[in-house]
Amino acid sequence: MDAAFGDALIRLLPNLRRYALSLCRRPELADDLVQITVERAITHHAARDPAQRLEAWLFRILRNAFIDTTRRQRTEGTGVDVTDHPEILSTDDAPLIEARLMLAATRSAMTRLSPEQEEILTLVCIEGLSYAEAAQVLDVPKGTVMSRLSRARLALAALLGIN
Amino acid sequence: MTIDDETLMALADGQLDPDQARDVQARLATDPAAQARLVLFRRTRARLEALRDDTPQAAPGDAALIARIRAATGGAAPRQGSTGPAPATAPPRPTAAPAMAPPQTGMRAANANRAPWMALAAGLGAVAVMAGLVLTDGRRDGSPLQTALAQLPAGEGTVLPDGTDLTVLASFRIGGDALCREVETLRDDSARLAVLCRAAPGQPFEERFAMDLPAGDDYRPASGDLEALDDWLTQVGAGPVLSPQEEALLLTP
Repeated sequence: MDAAFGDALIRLLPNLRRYALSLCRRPELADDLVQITVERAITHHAARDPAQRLEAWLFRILRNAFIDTTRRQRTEGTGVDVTDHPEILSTDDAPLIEARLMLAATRSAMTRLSPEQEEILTLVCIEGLSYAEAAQVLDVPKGTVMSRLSRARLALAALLGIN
Repeated sequence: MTIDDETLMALADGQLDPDQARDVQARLATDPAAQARLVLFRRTRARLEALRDDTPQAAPGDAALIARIRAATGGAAPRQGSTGPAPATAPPRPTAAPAMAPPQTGMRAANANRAPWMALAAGLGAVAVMAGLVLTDGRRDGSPLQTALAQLPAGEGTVLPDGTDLTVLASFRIGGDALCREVETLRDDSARLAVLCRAAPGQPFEERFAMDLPAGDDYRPASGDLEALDDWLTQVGAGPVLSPQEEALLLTP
């Protein structure tokens, strides 16, 4: 295992945490998922197909970790929902505030979608995975990614008043 | 509408291969409803991409994780030039869809790119107004508007920080070297058509023509009946719409 792999893994920590949050919406659980992902990535580093982009491989590990965890817990958690803490607007720059409000509106709309829709939007539109890569992460056919994603986009557009 | 949602979405996401993309773009030219749908997919993506750069970059638990990773990967100290966790670097974005090629040369060609509210405006009789209502705040060099005008090929668009959705419809020359860009803007349901021109590369684009367009959900085929714009183009001696190749030479990569 080389330092370049470590660097790449460290660089992707924020991306992993963002995807974890989109899955579980609870920061403390997201931290756990990221930690499990890092451990498994270190352990199974040698088994990775070098042709696959590291992001897609890591997201897949994280997703499996999430499924394991939910299976074990089953019960509804009472964790803090990140969306309960609105952003603090720290500037009086009007365009900047407007941009932040748009970001807040997008984030809030995301949490009103089904978890499945939020997840596919996170993978493709935020993390920039191709349809094929998202299909690998989710372990579904590419056609399923496309139909799920297009429904999610339409639902998001409706929530944001985009028509 | 003759193009299904998933195909339009794939075009907006840059997921079609070049041949497919060309084919879809050719069919789009005569399908205002599909054009509107494409804008929807493009705008939802733009809204989500904005979140990419906005996520907190490091969390309290990261220091321990980073130490763990360093230990497992040979204990390398942070490399030169990297101090602590690198900022959230987005994975490479999928290649943007190629510019929508105008189906013919001449000023009329630009009309094929026009979004549906254009067609509605044509039906109602558009009213030309003086410039300066929406786009004036972006004159300064390096502003998001100026950057978009200098970079975006015709057929592509972006959402500016103030929420304005901007689509470049066409490029043409006017009086020698000056480059003009015909754009549509949509903000808070108010749509506008404008032409902004720069005297030379590096100079800011100034608004030279603008008209308000009534927006609505009601789509009609684009007839291109835009007398005010046509009159202005004739008056200033605008050249034909630039081909994507000609345009590319004038845009900032």
